[in-house]
Amino acid sequence: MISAARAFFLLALPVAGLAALWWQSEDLSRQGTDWEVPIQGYDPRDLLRGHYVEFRYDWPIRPEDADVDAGDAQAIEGAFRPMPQINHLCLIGDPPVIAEAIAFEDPTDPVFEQCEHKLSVQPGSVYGYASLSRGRLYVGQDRALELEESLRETDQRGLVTFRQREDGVLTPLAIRFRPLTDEEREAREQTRAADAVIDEAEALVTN
Amino acid sequence: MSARKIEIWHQAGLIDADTRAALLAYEEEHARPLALWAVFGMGALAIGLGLVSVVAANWEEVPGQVRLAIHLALLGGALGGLFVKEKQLVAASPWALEALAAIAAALGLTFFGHLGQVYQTSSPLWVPLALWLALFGPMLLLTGRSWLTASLVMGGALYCVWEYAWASEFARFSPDEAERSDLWLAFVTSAPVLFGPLGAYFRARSTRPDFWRRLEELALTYAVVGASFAAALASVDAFQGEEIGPLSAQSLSVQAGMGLFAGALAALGRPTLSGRLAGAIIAGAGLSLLVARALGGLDLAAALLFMALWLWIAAAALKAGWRGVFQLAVAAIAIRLIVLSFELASDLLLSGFGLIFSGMLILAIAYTAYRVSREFAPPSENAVDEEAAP
Repeated sequence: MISAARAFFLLALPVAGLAALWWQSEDLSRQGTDWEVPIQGYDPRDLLRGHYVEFRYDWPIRPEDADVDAGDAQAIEGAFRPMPQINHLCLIGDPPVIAEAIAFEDPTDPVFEQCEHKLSVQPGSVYGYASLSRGRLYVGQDRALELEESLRETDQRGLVTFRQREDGVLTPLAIRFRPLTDEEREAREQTRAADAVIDEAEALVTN
Repeated sequence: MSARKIEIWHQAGLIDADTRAALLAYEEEHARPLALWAVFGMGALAIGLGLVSVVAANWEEVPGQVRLAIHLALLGGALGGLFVKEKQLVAASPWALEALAAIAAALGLTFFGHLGQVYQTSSPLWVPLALWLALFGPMLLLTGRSWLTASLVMGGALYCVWEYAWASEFARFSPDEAERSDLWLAFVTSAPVLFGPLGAYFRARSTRPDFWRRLEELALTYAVVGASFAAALASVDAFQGEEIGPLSAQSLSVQAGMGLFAGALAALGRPTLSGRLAGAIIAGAGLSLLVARALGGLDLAAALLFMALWLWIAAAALKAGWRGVFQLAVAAIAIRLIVLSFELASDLLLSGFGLIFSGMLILAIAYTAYRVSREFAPPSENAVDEEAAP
């Protein structure tokens, strides 16, 4: 009897417990819809889990839907533009292509509740309340360096494939790159020009 | 270690051949190969860290499921060896078993990180730590032999409860997560002190007294560090206006109650002089949490509370014959006195005379503490332990 209890605590409990957790992770990882989202970013490393690339999501949110608070802050702070926090997203499109993402503050919003493909911020995850703004993908050491280089090259567009689960959890799966389209290149030039104007204005104000 | 000395004494005619033989036999039997043990411990630690690094650096070559299967098989092998070969391993060296148990526990902990890596998932740190404690805690408690496994159990528990409390601070501001009450958090953060009575109870009844003794000592240390911290907080007036949260009166009452409860249980579990005094220290530490809260803002009283707590420990150490603990207590009191002299006379420091006076005072306190801890300290713990052992 004592020997059976010993066998349970020394062998069965630890091994079966971890195996059950493994099975649960495997099961969860198979659920959901796969999408692709453009990203920007850079990389550090995590000791426990090896290398990862870290990036910011470029959700296709229409300007008029963009966070109102961020607009106010811009008006108040002048050139200082904080990154708006995204709490909930509704994805519209034909997977894996996101035609549009709509941001919601309130998860009980009837429009959001009707949404077919929902994403919600995960306060308990690594990025906490920024988990819909930033993300990471674990990759091997060599590939992490390659990806880091690619992410720095501005003539390429990074795309992350992620799985969106029914309960609103986002899990990154893979990362790939494609050259910028002409439109994207033009848009980038415009942003740079605008940034330069703002920088000049700032310089004038501080002087 | 002392074989050479014994030989020299024999040749100088100080001891006869029989005494020499008896001394050598005694030394042989009571040898504590500390260096060897340290090497074993460091070896086990290095293997554990190496496993983490190997997993971290070279994992993309192999598919995730295969890697997890290998990881689980290694773990199963370590645990199987522990289960089947326990008696042989202990006969060869208790440290082999200790190292194997620690490696199995480390493999178990890294498995959580490995799962996160393969499935790109993440969760608050306390969740894997709590699961690890639930799955591997019983194994460690059933096989642990020494400080290595005892520290794994206590370290894991402390890390887990404080991560949980820390995560709950954020949950407080989040509408999505259920709020955890202050009383529950106070209970959870003080729960590791219950390893004290557990260790005290099994110390006298188990074939692995060293493990349980370490566990009891670690729990006692946790209680005393917590109480000292509360006394320090009182002297900087941190309790002022804290009506909710971890520094509120109700939170500290729960923790004080846990301290008193654990202290009483520890004294009951090991009803020797040393056991009752250890229980009294845990209970006293619990009580000083409440006193610290009541004294908030009175910096002299808070300093006196800190010194009273450590005087209590010094007295218990003197009575029970714990030399190291006594010296530590004297040092803690001396340091607090020095800090107090700065707190009370900060303006004195601004003048040259004040500086000279403070310097003299510090030297006097340090010298007195040194003399007290030399003159009055009981003889070394090991000697007493062996005498006291039935």
